[in-house]
Amino acid sequence: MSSDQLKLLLQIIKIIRLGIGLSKELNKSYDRSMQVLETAIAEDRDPTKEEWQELNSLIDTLHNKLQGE
Amino acid sequence: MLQGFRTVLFNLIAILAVWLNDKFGIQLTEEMQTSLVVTILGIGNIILRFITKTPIFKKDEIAKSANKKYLILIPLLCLTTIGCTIFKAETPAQRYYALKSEYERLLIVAVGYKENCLNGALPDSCKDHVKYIRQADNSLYHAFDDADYFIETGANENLALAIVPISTGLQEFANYLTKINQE
Repeated sequence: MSSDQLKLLLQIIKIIRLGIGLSKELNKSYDRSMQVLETAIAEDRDPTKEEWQELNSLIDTLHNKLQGE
Repeated sequence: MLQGFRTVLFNLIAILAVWLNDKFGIQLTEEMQTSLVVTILGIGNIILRFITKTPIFKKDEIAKSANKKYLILIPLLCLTTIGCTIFKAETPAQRYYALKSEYERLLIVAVGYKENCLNGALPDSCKDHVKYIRQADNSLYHAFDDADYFIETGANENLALAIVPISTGLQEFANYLTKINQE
């Protein structure tokens, strides 16, 4: 692993710490995505069309929040 | 199994560093963490040389290399979840879903920063950062949008290649968010 990748790893750790202080409401959506992924892995399948739509919808909401005034 | 050794090791060290800090307030500087990781990795590689005949840093062909680069990023990002769900992802679609979930996670951090900036909780310079965050997010958003096409068509090889620039963009996005949150 290169020094750049090492730096990335350490920076990701810092991002985790940043995430700890975020609102529970926002983190819920991320937890939901992880739950979907975990279920898909357990059932040995790819995410369904509905699950993709759900994730895309969450991302759209956050993206619009960030881009909006 | 041995191919995942380095990734697992890096994850364990990283989790240990976070745990030591959160539980005991012991802060390992970046230099200390790097030294620790490199030392253990070196010892691990020596052990691996005795139990495997495959060169540890052997390069693969371009497509595999691109896929590998993407695969390296996933376990790094997986540190954000307990149980490391992302690390378990096996198919290209599952991995892409995991990567997209991490984008969602970074967006949550970015939205939090923007809201703090608007509330006046941050110095005025935060407005410039928000501007940059928006630009970076726009690029990532469209890159994901393009890669979604390969999910719809089931073109896994194209998906792996399309993910490389996205991974780089996500790294930069994460780096920037880290930097501005430390100011």
